[in-house]
Amino acid sequence: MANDRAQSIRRDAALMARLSAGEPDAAREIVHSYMAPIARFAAHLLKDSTEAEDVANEAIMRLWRTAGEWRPDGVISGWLRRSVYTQCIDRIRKAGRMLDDASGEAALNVEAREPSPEAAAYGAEIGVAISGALDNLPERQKAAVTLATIDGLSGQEIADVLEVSVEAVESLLARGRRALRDALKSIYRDTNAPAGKSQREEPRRIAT
Amino acid sequence: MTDKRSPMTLLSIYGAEFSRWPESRSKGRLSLATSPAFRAAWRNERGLDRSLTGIGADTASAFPADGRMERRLLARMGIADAPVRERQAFGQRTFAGFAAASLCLGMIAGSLFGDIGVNSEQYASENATIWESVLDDEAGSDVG
Repeated sequence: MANDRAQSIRRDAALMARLSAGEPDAAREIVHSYMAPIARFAAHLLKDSTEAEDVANEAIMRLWRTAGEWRPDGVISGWLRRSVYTQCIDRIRKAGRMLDDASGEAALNVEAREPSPEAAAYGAEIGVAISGALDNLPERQKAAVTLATIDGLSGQEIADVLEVSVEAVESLLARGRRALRDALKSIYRDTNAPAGKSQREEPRRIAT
Repeated sequence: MTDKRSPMTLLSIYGAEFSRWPESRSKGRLSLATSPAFRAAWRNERGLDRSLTGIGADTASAFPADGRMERRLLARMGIADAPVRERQAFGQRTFAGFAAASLCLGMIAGSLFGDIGVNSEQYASENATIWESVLDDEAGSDVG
């Protein structure tokens, strides 16, 4: 695994040297390899595909503009995801839709975003409810869970993106998954609750 | 590095997919086979993993893989992207070039080493012998 990382670092250093030298093929390779994955990551955090594309564009433009300053101790995917994460957090804070880690779990309002008890009986609706619960996680927990479970990154890779230790990542993952499990439990509880409970708002889906 | 944490702890952090565990994957598999409590927890985590994977697919569908997003960015960078048709044509040209090169090599090799095998006179005489024997047999059966 350490060998794989060392190989990736060397490969990316060579690619960045080509980018810095102004090779169009290097730019094409980076854009085609990373644009879609980082746009998806941004979309998970922002819940808006247009805004997510803007953020992903900006991350790659920054990489391109600063190619000459590349330090060969990291990988391009980690650098880009970190840039996306920082930009997303800035945007979320500016829009006032941030849940900080300290108050996040207390403020987690899964109830407000659950589907109706009737609809929750269906598997697809469970996915919708989980999506709502994921939206309600504190941003760092949401980023860690998204990167681990949806993007398949290792603890070390997530630590590089979030600029925290692996132990901190594990703590974020454990807390995030516990909150999501609790959300699932509450859905199952409501499914068995008496009919006539108030219809609740469904979680916001990705705007396309 | 050996991970001293219990499989249940790793399950709660990394989920049901053992390939994502940093260590103790074999312990996880063993617990799955031997511990009913672990098996129940593992099923819950697997359900959560699947729901999250579904969300990932939902998000991915907002970004069709048609290359438009990438082309827009490359245009901002002042770099022309090779259109998909051109990339496919490149593949076809490569194949056609390879086929033509193989044919030429075959012809050159044939002209250089063609005499190593059976020569044309030998081939003609062998075939003549075969035909003669066939004709003789047919003639014989007619006589009989």
